[in-house]
Amino acid sequence: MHYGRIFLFAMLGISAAHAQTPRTPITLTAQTVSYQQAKGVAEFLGNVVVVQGDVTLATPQLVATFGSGRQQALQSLTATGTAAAPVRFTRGEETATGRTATYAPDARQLVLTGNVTLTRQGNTLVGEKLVYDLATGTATVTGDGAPVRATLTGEGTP
Amino acid sequence: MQLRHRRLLLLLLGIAALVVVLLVSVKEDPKIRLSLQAPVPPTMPLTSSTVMGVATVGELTNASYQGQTANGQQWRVQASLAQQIGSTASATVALTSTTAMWFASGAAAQALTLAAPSATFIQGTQNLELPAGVTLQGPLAGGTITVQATTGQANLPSQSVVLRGTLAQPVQVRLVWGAMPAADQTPTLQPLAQPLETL
Repeated sequence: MHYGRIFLFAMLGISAAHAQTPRTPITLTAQTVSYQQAKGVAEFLGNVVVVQGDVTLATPQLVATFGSGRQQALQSLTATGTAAAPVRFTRGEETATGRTATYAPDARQLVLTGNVTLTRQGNTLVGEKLVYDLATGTATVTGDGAPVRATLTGEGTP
Repeated sequence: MQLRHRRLLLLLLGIAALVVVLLVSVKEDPKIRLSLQAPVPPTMPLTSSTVMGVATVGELTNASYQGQTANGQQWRVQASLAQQIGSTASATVALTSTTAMWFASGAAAQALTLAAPSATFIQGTQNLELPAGVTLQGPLAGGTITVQATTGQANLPSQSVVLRGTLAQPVQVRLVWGAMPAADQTPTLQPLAQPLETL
């Protein structure tokens, strides 16, 4: 299950692997960027595409909140999509989509919610929520009352 | 003798009329009015600010406007040339080669810098309008962020910035980990040269 890691690679570069090597720069494109220092909020709107190395995040809207200290440390990231344009992470042939994605560094958890799909090598896992725990490295897909559906082609597992 | 007095009176009346006409035309000509006015310092209630630079007629070269944000950070707008449009405290100033900076307290290299070839500074609101070729650079989340946009707006006291791109040329953001290279660091916050009031 690499999708949580994909998000982290894409947005923060804080994975264990990257901790020992220089982090890859992040590039981002958007139609509009707004930053409010008083609120510690940066908002990216319109065809937001984030690229770090071979990882890409695409979302209609991305909001980042920062602390008020001198380092302005990242506090949270929230990517918001729509039914027509969900949040999408890709890395090679792997793709994860969902309506929203949030990451809180303190909790060290990535949460993808809203019609989550996880696709890898033709295999698809569909649920309502994906939680990736960075501390343990485990990922959990739940259906929020509905069953989690899997489509496997036999080429591999998501 | 009486005739001479009458001619003198007519001459004086003519001169007076000419002076009146000249005064009216000067008042209504914005170019001439601009040349008669010195820039007026901003008058925002929450923050203080000053205007400095070397003044020639109607414009400032190496102009600098500075003040403080609500949380005490210093900001400064520098321009190679400032030309005032209007004569009130809320007047607009056209700036050339503009750089706006917000300084973190006691750390000049921590400044967030917004630059553009030209800008409009609205003194009443302390808003900065950047019509083209906008670059934002500064420290963020342990790295250095560089943003390039087509247009931009900033409110200096609240340190809020909005940058816009186009479909063909979206806003470009690049975040590099680590400190800003020394060559790219912003200048230190030194006292400015000459207060406008002394000119």
